[in-house]
Amino acid sequence: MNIKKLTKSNLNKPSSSSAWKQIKKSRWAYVFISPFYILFAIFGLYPMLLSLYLSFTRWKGVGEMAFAGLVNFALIPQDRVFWQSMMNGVILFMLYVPIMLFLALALAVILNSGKIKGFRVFRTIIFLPFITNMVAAGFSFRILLEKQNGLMNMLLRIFGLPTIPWLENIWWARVSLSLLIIWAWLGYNMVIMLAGLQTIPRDLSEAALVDGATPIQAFFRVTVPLMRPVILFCLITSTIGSFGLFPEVMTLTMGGPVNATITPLIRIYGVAFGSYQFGYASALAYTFFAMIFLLTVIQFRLNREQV
Amino acid sequence: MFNTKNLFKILTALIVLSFVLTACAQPTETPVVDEPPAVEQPPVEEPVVEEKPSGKLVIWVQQANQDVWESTVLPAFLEEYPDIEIEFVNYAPDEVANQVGLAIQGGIGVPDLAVTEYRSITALVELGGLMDLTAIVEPHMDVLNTTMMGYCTKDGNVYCVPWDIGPVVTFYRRDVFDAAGLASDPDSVSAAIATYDDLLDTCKVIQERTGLPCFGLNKANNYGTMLENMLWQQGLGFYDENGNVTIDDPYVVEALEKIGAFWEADVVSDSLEWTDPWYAELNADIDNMDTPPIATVTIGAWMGNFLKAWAAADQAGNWGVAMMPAYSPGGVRASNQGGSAYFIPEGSQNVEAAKAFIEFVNLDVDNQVAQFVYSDYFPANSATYTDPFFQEPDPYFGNQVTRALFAEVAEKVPFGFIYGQYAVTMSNNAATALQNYALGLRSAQDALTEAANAVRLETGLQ
Repeated sequence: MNIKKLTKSNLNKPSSSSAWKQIKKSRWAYVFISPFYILFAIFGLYPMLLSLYLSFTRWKGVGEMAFAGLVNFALIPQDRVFWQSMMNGVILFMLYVPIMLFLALALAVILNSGKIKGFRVFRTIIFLPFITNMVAAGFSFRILLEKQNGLMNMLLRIFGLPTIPWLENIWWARVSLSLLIIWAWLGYNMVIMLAGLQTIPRDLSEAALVDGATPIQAFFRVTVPLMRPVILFCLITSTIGSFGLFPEVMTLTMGGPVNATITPLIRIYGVAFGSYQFGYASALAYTFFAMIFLLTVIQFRLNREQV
Repeated sequence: MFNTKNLFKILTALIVLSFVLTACAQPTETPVVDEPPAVEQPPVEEPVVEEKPSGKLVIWVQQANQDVWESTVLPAFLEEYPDIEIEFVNYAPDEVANQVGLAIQGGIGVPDLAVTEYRSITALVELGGLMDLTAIVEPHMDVLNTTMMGYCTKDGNVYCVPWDIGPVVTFYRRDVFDAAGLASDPDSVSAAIATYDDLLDTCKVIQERTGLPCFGLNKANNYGTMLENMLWQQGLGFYDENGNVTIDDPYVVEALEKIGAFWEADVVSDSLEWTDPWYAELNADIDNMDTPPIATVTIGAWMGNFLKAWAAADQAGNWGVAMMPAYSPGGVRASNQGGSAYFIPEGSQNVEAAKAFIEFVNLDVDNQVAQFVYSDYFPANSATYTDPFFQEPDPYFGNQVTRALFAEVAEKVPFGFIYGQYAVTMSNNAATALQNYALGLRSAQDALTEAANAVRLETGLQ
C-alpha cells in the first residue's frame, strides 16, 4: 500500500490532478479573463523579454543579433548624457512634485469641504488639462513662453518687469517644463486625493475641531496622516513620471538647452532610433527600470516606517 | 473449371483494362516512311503585350510631397497605369524612415514605396533592408546628382533614387543692404560675402549703419546647421572616410570658433530657425522697430518657396539670392541642406508598381520639371536644368534668375560626411557642443571633445 507521507510542504498543496480539476471546473472564467493575458503576453511580456535579451547583444535593428555579454552594461557608467538625464529627473522631481502634490491636496480639501458651490464644475475644469492632448498643450506652452512675443513675457513687460528666457536658459527651461507638468497632472492627482478624502469620515475632523483644534491643525494632524497611503501613491507615480517624461519634453524643449531637460526615456529613445543601437538602448532601459524599482521600494519603506 | 459467369467477369475486366492501358500509353513513335522532309516553318510570332504593373501601391510619404504629386504628375501616372491603385500613408518627414525601420525589423507591414529625407535614409542604406535599385537608376547615372547618389550607394549598389537637393545659398534683403549703403545686386552681395570673414565684416557694416541683425543665430537651442554647412562645403563632416569620429578634430574646433566670432561681434539676433520670432524677422519691414528684420539667411534653395508662400510673403521684391560664403578664400561656395529620395523596402508587395512610379514621376525629365515649377523642390536631376523655366526671372526675387544660380550651386555640392548611419546622433551631439560653447559653459575644444566622446560611446565608432 502506497501511503503518501504528509509533510508541511505538501499538506495544503493541491495535487496536480485536483488543480487541473479546479481549472476545468472554472474553465469559462479562465476563457473570459484570457484576452488580457494573451494581449499582455504579446504586447507586454514578449517585448520585455526580448528587450532583456537584446541588452546582452549588439543589434542595429536589422540583421543578426550578436551576443555581447555585459558589454552594453559596462558602457553605462561612462554615459554622461544618460546620467545627466537621470539627474534632470531628480531636479524636475524636486521642482514640481512637492508643489503639485500640495496643490492637489489643497484643492481636493477645498472641493471636499462641501462649501464650494458647483463642486462638479470646478472638479471638471481642474481635471480637463489631464485629458488634453499633450502635444497640443506643449506647443501652446511653447508659444506662451516664447521669448520675444510670448504672452508671458508680454505680461511681464506690461508690468514693467524684466522678461524671462523661459526656454533659453537651463534653469528657466526646467521651470517651464515643470509648469507644463503641473498644469497637465494637477487634476489627475487632485481627483485621486479627492477620492481618498471621501473615504475619511468627517466625524474625525469635526471631533478635532470640537476638541479645540484649528482647521489647519485638524488638516495636518488628522487629514494628512489618514491620507498618507494616497499621498504615497501620488508620490510614487509622480516620481516614476518625472523620469519618464516624453511628449512634454519633446514638444516644449526638445531636451534642451544643452540637454538640461532631457529625460532617461528620451535618451533611451535617441539611442534606439537615432543610433540604431537597440542592444545598448535595452541595457539602458533595464538599468533605468532597476533604479526606478529601487527608488519605489525605498519610498515604500520610508513611508511604512513613518506610519 | 471456369463457369460462364466467372469467364464473363474476367473478359469484362480484361476489356476495361485494355482500354485503360491504351488511354494511358505514351504515343508510340510514328514509323518512318519515305515522305519528303517537312519544310521548317518559321515560328509564328505572337504579338508581345507588355503587362503593365497593377494592384495596390502603398506609399509612405509626408503630406507636402503627396500634395506636389497630386497637383502635378499623379493624374498622368494613373492614366498611364490605370490598374494601379495608390494608397498614401502620411508621416512627419523624419518619422517615415523610423516607421520603415520598425516595419523592416518586424518583417511585416512595410510600404511598397517611401520617400523621405537623405538624413534619415542614409541610416537605412547602411543598415540594409532596402531593395537594390541599380537597374532602374543606371540609365540616369550621368544626370543624377553625384553627391546625393553617394548617399544612396553602398558597395556599388544603389538603394535610393534622389528626388530633390537643397543647394545652400544666401538669401539677403536688398532693402537692408541698400539702407546700409552696400551694393544690393546679387553679384556684389556674393562678392561682399565671399568668405565667412567677409560676411562678418559685412554684418558689422550693416549693424553699424542700420542697427539690424545680420541673421538669426540662436545660442541655447542652436540646431548646428551653420556648423554643418561650414564642414560640408569643405568636403568634411563629423566622421571621416574610415568611419572615425572627427567631431573633436581641429578643423571642427576652428569652425566653431568662426561661428563664435559672430556672437562676439554682436551682429546676429538670437532667433531660432523655424520658430515664430524667426518668421517675424524674415517678414519684417525695414522700419519695424519691435521686430527688426534680419539681413540674410543662408539655407537650402527650397527656402525660396517658403519665403514666397508664407514666411515672407509681404517682402516680394526685397529678397535676393547670393552665393553662400566660402570657408576660406577661393573655397567651395556650395553645401546642402535637406532634399529627399525614393526607396523601396525589402518586403514591398508591389515592387513593379513602385519602380514604375519612380520612373514615371521622378526619372522623367518633364514630370520632374512640372514638380519643380509647382513646388520649388530643386531637382537632383541635372537633365532638368536645361529647361527654359530655369532661365525665367523670378518676380519675388526682383526678377533675378535664381533657378540658374541654384543649379550652378547644386552641381558644386561636395560629398560631406554629415549624413550617414549615425547622422542624427552626430548632429545632435554637435549641436549640444555648439550650445555649450555659445552659452559659455565650455570652450570650443572641451565642448567638442565631450560631444565626440558621447558619439563614440553611443555608436561604438573610434
